[in-house]
Amino acid sequence: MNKNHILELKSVSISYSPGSYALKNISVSIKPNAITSIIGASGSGKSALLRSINRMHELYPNIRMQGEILLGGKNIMEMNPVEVRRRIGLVFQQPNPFPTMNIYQNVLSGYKLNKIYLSKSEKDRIVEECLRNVSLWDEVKNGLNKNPLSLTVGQQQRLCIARTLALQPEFLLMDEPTSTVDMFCTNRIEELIYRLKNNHTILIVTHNLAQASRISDYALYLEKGELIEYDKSNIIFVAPNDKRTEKYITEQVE
Amino acid sequence: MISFQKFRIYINKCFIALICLFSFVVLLPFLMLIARLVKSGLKYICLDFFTQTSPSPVDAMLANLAGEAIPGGILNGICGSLYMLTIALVLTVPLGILTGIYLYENRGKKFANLIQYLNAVCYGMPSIIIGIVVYVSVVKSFHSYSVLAGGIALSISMLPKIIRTTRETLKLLPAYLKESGLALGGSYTGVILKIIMPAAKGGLLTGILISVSRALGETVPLIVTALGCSMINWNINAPASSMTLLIWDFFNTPNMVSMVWATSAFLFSIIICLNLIAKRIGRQWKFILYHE
Repeated sequence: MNKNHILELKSVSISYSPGSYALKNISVSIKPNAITSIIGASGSGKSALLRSINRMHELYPNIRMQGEILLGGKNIMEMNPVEVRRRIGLVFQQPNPFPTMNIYQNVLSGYKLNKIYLSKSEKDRIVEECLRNVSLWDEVKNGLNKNPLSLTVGQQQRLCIARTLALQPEFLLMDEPTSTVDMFCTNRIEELIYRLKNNHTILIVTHNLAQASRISDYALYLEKGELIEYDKSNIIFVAPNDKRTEKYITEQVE
Repeated sequence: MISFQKFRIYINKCFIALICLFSFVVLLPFLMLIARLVKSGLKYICLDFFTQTSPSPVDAMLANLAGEAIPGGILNGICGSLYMLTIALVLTVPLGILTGIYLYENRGKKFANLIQYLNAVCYGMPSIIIGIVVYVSVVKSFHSYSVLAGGIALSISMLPKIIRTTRETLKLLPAYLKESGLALGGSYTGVILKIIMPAAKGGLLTGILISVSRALGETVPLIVTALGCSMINWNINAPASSMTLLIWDFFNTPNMVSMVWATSAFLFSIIICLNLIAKRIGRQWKFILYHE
């Protein structure tokens, strides 16, 4: 196993204001080339955890982080944030394609932002490969110069995943990627996520426990900012070791 | 009960009638203005009007005595206005947009709040004060009324508007644009230049066009800075005319009434066109951004 592909959190705490913690002392080692779902009630710190992994929390100056997040043994806070975010892609809850770029340019937007210059043939290859990867190619191949907002919400979300994949990140963070799309699109995105784990380590925040149990290999349960349990999915969802996990899962299923 | 209901309907009708009446009253002066400009101004607008410089008072008097149309046009005013606007735009657009970005990105911080406050004060600054300040600082130190001084005066009057437009435009953009750009590994500058600015382009252009149309109508600060000139002048350090200065000159010279009307009608039509274009760009921009 490549050492670079290991993501480790060491006593990570995040506070929005002094004394009030969104996350308390989280230590966890994310399994590579697997899907780990982060579950928990609203306000349990799921998104805060996800966003801190690619340093998005820095956009809000009042958020403080303590502890270390190690990417391949290196503390991400000592790395260049641009490099961290290139290696750890983030897919948002709301599909958010860039409205001023067409579909083709949206897929390549990461390269444009990172000032990586590609030849026309390379661009064509990347766009086709990424759109095929998210099963969007056949739907948009005849209208690559269209405005992405003309697509359905589900298609937009897959476009956003393609845009993130184009940069070939090692990690993929997903913040409730299917909460705004319908059942059919959810299935397609789930299939896609399942396929992507061959090449990527995926962390997904979800409210949908059925979804978490369907696709994830590992699950991580947070309650009020504390890590309650982290184990294989079939243990967490079938026979959790901690009473609190069991209570949350039973409540959600009922 | 029935009478009460009738009363309500009656009140409702009165209210609607009142609204229509007031709307018409508001519209009336505007319609009269357009009618007067079209009636008194349009007939003097011909090719010479755009290709010749302003007539001398003697020519105007002779033409009037002979009952002919006044010879000459407003080319010196058009050139002067364009020249000074170009100087103003070159000075204002980069500065205004960068300040607007700064204010938006640092909203809530003390220094940004101070600038924001000063900008709001400058927004309503009487234009004669701008003129006097430029007169004292530029005209006095260069010992000459000049195009440069006029351009600087226009840029000072445009700057607060462009700063405000930039900030308001950035506020209108969806907040996710910046986050998703950064999440793709873009640097802060890269995201601002490649994601935010293209998305804001339509809004900024609308704001710039509207402030250009305002600057075209500025007269007072130009009287004390650019002074006016009856010839076309491309020397940046010499006086020049503008369309509004010409209207003022024509107004103060006997026998030039027709020129006053014609120039006003032309200036007014340019301003209407600029506003229409701005509106159209604004609408297209919102469509691209929100697809609705």
